Amino acid sequence: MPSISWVDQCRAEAPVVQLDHRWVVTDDQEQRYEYAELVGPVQGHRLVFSRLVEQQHELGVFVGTGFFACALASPEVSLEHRGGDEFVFSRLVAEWRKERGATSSTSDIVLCYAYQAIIGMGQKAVPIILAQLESEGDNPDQWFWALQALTRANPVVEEDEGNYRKMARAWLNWAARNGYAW
Amino acid sequence: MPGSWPPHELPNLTENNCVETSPQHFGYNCIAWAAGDNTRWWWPIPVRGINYWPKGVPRQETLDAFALAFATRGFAECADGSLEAGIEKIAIFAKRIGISLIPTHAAFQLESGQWSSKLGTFEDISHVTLDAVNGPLYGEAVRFMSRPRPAVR
Repeated sequence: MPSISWVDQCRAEAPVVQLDHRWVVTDDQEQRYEYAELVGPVQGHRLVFSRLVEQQHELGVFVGTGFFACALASPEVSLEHRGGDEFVFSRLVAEWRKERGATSSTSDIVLCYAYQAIIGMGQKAVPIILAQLESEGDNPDQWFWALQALTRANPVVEEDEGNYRKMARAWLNWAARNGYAW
Repeated sequence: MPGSWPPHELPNLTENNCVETSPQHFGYNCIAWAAGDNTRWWWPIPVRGINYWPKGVPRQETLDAFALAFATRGFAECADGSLEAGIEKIAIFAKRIGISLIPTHAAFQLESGQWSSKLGTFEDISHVTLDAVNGPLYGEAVRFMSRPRPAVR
């Protein structure tokens, strides 16, 4: 990514909206921030924008708290922006874990709206799920239904069914053998 | 509240009637925990390659299928959850949906007479009474099973 030349930091509960080819957010102190182009969300509570300074685009970071749910709901902050798929996925994971609560029912767990939305992301979700699965190490979560639905594969041998640590290893090995990169 | 589960789902759990006994873990659930297995997630979904379910037991979300699953670990049906020396008991919880009772949860009885539950992907707890986990998520205990208490679970 090109160099970052400015940082705006504030508390903003309001959505980031696109108005007349400008990106606008108003913070909790009524301070208004305006940007030229949304480059993409990055990890944490940050959005990368460009700002026009003497006809030149300068990249910077808007650091806020609380605006992410609004930003996600805003169609202008769309998935095609760089980093968008990982951003949306991480939001959906958080929603899914909240939505499923303390149920033990796999049927209920995979029928959560957010989990279905992850499957709905299609093939581009596969490497993101694999990266998530790998990052969870010895305590992997229930990504196997989504992986089966998306790839139509089942690399888990019968004796390992239900053992998520072994199942995660089987999926990561299968994915590597089948040309997935994550 | 002692754990990280959503309190509205288990409104009867309080600091006075439960204790966290192990940290949150994704790898096993209440059914596995009650059966004495903390390495797998047990649930009878028909799709293979997702969960463990004992071989030969119908992959159905019914009380009878759950009882058969526990029977593969030596449990037989019994009358209630009263404490009996040398006997380990489990309680199967269910929630009424329409005319069906759908299994939701299981807990096992400790030697003290208290109960132990794994709360979905959340923590294991011991709770003083069974009805401490009654509520909108798990319903209530509707079936009991027992076996000779093993020396080691």
